Amino acid sequence: MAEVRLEGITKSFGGKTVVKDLNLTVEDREFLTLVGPSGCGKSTTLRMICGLERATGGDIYFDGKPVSWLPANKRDVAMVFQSYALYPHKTVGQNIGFALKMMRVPKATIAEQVLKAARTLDIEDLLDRKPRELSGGQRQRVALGRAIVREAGAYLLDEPLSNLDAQLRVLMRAEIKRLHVDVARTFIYVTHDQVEAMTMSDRIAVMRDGVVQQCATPEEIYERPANRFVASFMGSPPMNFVTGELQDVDGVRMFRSTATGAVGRGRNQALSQEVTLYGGEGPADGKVVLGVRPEDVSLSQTPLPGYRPGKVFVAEPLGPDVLVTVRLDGELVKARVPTPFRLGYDSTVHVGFNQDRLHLFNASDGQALQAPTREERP
Amino acid sequence: MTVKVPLRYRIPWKKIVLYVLAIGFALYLVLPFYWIVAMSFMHEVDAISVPPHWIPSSPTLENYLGFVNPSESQALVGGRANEETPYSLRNSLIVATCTAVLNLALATFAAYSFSRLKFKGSQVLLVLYLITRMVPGIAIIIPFYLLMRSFGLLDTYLALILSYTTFALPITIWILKDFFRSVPRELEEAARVDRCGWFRTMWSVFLPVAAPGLVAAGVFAFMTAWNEFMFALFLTSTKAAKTIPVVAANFATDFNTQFTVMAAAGVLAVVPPLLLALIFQRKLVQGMAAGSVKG
Repeated sequence: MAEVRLEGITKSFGGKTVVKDLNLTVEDREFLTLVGPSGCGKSTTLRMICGLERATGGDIYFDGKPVSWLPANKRDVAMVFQSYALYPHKTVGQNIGFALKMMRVPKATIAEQVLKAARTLDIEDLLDRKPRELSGGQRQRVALGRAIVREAGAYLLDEPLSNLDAQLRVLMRAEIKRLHVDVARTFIYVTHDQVEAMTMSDRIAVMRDGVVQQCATPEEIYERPANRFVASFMGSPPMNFVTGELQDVDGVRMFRSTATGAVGRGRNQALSQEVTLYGGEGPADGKVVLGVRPEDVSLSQTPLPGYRPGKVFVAEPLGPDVLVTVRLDGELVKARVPTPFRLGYDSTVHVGFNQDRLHLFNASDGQALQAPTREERP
Repeated sequence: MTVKVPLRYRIPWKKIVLYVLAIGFALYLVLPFYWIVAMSFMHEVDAISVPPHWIPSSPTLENYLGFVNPSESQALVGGRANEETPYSLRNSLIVATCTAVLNLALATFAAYSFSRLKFKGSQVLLVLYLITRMVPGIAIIIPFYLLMRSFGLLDTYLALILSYTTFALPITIWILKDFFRSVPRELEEAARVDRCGWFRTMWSVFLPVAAPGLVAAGVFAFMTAWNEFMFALFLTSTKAAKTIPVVAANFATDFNTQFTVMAAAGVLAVVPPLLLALIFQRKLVQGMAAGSVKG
């Protein structure tokens, strides 16, 4: 059982700082995911928690006890490596039981624990094989087994699914999530895949350039992204953005697009959308970016109030949905609409945004202008 | 009118040439060795007959037995070469084994540092090691001799082991360094997370994974020591430390060279390295790291 707390963690390699003043608390038995593009410092952070990398500054605490100075073998952690890092000269059983052997657990107990872990992961009949005789998915299970056989305070997983094919990844994703519930331990998971982060985590910490952009529940991250980066990184396909400015028209707060060809009236009339700001007045210069997720964009063949005409750029069927890209005021906007969608390329379609689900970001620094909470939403 | 030969009937010249060359090369390597083995079981008369008898007409163990219990004529051969052969085999085995072990022990630490640690001048140091191998042995044999004499090490195993280690170590370090670099760093990290200290990580994970490299380097050091002639000639003088190459040379200096006895000594000299190669053959070719990390 462990609560993992990072206080002011900084890590530099040479002159390059890859993690900057990171503060993060992972609750006991929580599943926290560090997600971000490659090079954002997420793996380095995990390695520092593990003790494989020493922080340049700051402190790490396990259950309130400082562990920064402890090497990896003295910390109460288990880790699953991206490459699995199975010992090639040992059998699956020996691989799984190795940590216990090092902890001088009696042989009979080791055998029992190994079998138990192997049963959990459904690899009982592989115990006598060598890693090179296993498939990718089986190796992945052995790597997990090596971690869960120990009663470690925290389980650290560094992109464990990235080497699996898509189908297996979906399967293992569910299994790891279930495993977390079964073993009831703290899991810290690193991935660059936002789908993994969204589906598995209790909380997600989105990182960029060594800085945590937002740390919150998946719902919160999805519905109230703290800035434009989080909004665009989380969610597939990513959120649509339209640059523009805020204007007061007859006492109503309006967003007006400043995209190319969106000036004046008539055919080229700018996209204008009534928006609500909850608290705060928005940026002084009024320049903002409007964000709307593809599923909050609706399409209509006939003109409807509040809808604007655009042209179908491309339609990509996803099965239950169709992802339609529409050219609207010179910008490409993606809409996720239910199947079937029968309009051809370049046909006119009317685009409407779900008024209650709009996001506004400051155009200069990308910070979210306060969006409504679920309760505040009309 | 031309007749087109269907593809499958064409004579595969390329293959035929390749096979002939390959067989020729194999014979070139194997025949001399076969001749030595065959001759070691022949009577002297058969060995020097023309045309040669490829298969001994009346095989005999006389040549081998002579090493243990030399006959009158054999006792005269090349300054007691016959009598010294069994001792020299023992000496060679001890010297070569110790050289291999000492080499591995020293080179493992050095190669690990070169492959895992970043330190200033590591490249220069590596090249420097190689440069020491460029010095011809003959240039340093006299200083070596004097040095060993002043330490009172002449005609001892230690003199040979120390000399051979200085020759073999640079190459051993290079072999191991390259091999160690190919061992995934994550294996060591996994061992650390699995509660191993540094020595335990080395012993239980790193060295077993690097075993093929260690075997290759060990065999190399063994062979270097086994085959070395010049230093052994200078630094040893009695059967207490003479190695097999020195004793084998004695056969040739005899006024009455006995080819069959020489052949028997030659066979004995080949057996230990051959056994070594056979025992470690699997390790030598094994790609141990396969399957450890995602390939």
